Amino acid sequence: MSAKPHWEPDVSALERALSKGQAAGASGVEIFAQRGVHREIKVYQQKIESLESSETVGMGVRAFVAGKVGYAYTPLPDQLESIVLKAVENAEVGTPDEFNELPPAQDSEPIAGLYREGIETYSGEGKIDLAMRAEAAACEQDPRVRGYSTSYADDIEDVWIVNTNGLSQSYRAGYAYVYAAVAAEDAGETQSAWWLDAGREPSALDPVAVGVEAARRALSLLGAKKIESCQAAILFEPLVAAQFIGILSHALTGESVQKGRSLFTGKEGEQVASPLVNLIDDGRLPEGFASSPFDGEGVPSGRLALIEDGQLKAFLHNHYSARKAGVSSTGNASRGSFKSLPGVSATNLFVEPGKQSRDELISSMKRGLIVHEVSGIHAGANPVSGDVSLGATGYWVEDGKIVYPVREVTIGGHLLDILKGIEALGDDFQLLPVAGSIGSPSILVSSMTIGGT
Amino acid sequence: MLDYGAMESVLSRVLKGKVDFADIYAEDTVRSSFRLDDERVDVVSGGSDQGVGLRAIAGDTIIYAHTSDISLEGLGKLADEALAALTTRDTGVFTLRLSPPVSAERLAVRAPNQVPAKDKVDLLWRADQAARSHDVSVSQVTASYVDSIKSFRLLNSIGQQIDESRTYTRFMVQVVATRNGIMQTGFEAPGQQSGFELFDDVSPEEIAILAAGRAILMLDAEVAPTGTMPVVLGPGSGGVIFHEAVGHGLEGDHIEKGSVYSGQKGSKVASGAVTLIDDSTIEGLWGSYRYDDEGEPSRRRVLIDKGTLTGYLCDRYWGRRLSVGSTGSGRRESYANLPIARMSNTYLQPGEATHEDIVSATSTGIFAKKLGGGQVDPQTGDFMFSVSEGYLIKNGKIAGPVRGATLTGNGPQILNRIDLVGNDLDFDPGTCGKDGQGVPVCIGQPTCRVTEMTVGGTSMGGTS
Repeated sequence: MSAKPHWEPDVSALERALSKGQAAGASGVEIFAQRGVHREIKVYQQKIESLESSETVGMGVRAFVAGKVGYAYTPLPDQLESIVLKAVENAEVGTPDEFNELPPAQDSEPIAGLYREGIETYSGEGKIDLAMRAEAAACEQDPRVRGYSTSYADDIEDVWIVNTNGLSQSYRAGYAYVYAAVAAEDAGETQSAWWLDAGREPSALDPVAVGVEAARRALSLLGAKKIESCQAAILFEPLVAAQFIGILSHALTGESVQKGRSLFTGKEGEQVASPLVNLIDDGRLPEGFASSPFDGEGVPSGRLALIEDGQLKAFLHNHYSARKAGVSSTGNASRGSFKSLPGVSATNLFVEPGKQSRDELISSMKRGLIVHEVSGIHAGANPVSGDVSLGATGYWVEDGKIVYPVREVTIGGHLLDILKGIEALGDDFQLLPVAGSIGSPSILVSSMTIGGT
Repeated sequence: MLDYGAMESVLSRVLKGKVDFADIYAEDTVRSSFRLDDERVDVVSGGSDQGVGLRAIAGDTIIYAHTSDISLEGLGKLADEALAALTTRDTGVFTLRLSPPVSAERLAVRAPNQVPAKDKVDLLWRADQAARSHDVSVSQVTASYVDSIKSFRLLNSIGQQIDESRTYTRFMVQVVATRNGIMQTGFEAPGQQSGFELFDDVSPEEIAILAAGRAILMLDAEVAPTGTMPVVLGPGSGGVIFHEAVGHGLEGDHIEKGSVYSGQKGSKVASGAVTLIDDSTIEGLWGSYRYDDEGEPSRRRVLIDKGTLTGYLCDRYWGRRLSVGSTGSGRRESYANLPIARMSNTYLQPGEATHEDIVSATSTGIFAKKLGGGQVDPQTGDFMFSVSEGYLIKNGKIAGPVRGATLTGNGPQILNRIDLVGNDLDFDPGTCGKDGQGVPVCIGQPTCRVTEMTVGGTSMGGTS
């Protein structure tokens, strides 16, 4: 399957549309044009289950009229001028706000290696093979293991932003991944697990490692039982820690602080976490899955330390929230797609690793639970109240050794207590496109409530 | 909307390859959305989502190509993509025998695209006012309105030509209440397949007060106890237990690949008090439709009949692989997604008991009045869901409110522990996510009781 070489919208049509918006009364107009190309191959029992390919193009227009903002979008290039007028019309019912304005145009430094041609030149058969090998590797580990859902996928994204402040910038980014979900079955008990590997192009992926790790994780849960309710130490595996960090990130935006929805309101400069914690947002990591030279409104991305040695240092801002706070945008305006207005969110967000190996962390636990997977993160972790109550599976530890796997329990606590209760960080850092693009090592927390029998 | 002629020529090209089934699905959806947050209308947005998806099934392999480019050139490329993936490209001429086109368009009484933006924004201000004046602890209010008119046209290799349109309107209020530095949230989000006439029955003020009341209640609430105990689940949103404990596990792909319910048809999987229905024909409910997204007619499906498993949920592909055929459950989020087996409006059939009977029959436990989202692993059957409004039950009476609780269990075990079923059936709209795509669904039930579930509070202590 072939994809077009580099894509460009009709830039002169975009510029004409900007003028149309100004002529209709807008003091500022911004057009965000996006093209996404996606390929996905799913295999099951060493046969191809599905082959999917797609190309989606769209444009979103933001119009500023007398301090009010309106938005409209379309997938059809010939509708561009009509949606510019629609955006201007939509602004009429918005609320005037002195901080509503386009950011000043700035040039962004390109980021090398965001897009690798290998995504397009790697053969279709080769991509199918990557998925097949991941499933085969998992099943080869043990006769009790079978594949459930194994896939290869890649995405190429082209983004262009133009605005009436003279901004005209673009970038192209791509990434590929192999994912394997497997089941391990023994004596009527089934356990499931998954693993994935992601990178900038197919040749950077290790499908065999994905299959081996997915199988190992599923097998390690066989014999899992419920445990009694108690308070105990918790060791979060990196991907689980990453999901918590993702929830926490909603409370670290200038927007949530200004709107009275953040646990961190008024806490700048305070100790909000254990002194071991350094939490960084970096929109320019060459290997980061959310990296881009500029954010969703064209402001250059950068690196920002949010928490340093456990102290709260900064919040994530887009241009609106930054102006309101009297600071500069941190380049964290984000859009789900061309269909939405820019909000604020983290880019590549990560907790810096520590020095102890995972085994060392486990040996240090007198009594506790290693959490291998949580369930219900979007329902059970509330970034406003900070209350956390989630389903969990993992391994029970006693006197520094794993004694048996655990299922069907809950873990509960409060986000701020968890942060302050962090006792140790592992050296096993992982950055994966899970919950956005979040990286973390294993994290040991002194105490949480475990709900069981 | 793409015309049938253009669609037919694309489909005919693909049907020259070695294909057992093919369909082409064109969509044209228009949406508008508005948000009032922090006393400012900061989102006023509208737009269209158009595109076409082409699917060809050869044996057990599905080939799928989709694009937002609905020009002739775009359609030609779509056919090329699909053909390139087929191993045999030209088996000669295929005669497509078309049935007469069927139109299942459902126009709203007050089509949202005919309603001025000002009227929609007005609802948001009314909600904001009502929430803020409800209690001095209300510190923030977010009110949102979203409408969409989804139109699709499909043509397939068995000759069906179907047009359907569905109108969705939803209103959401989230309130933050603050006292002594502690913040809690309350949320209420009614929705219906209807147009602006929704607001003849649903008042923004009532919704706002429900959300505000919930946030205030949580400020006053104790932390939920931790441990295993009886749980009474409230009507409507309580139905999430069936969605998670059994609904996903009955979807065709999970049944084939290894769900905890595989091979269980005809067996007893729940207590005799449980009859579970999935019905996509109920007028106006969030999960309803006339035809599914593969052209199969909507229907009422009995999944569990007095405790015995009687039905699965299948789309065409998995229905064929399981040799049971489609159950009209082939749904997709948009043209950009493959149709897969999904739920529609899934509910526990009501019984005879009253809500009061059930509570008074419970000496200790939790009453989960309103539930939030949940998640399940269909292979193991382990599921969880969160309680957004809950109370302790003491001596058969509802006592103080509790917060921060998750309920967890294993599907088949929990279903067998349902002993009391009430008569107060209600439904709650939501979005069900699976394989990276979301479809509108309803969960539903009357009040019911589970004799034992694990409650995960955020601290030790409380009832045991």
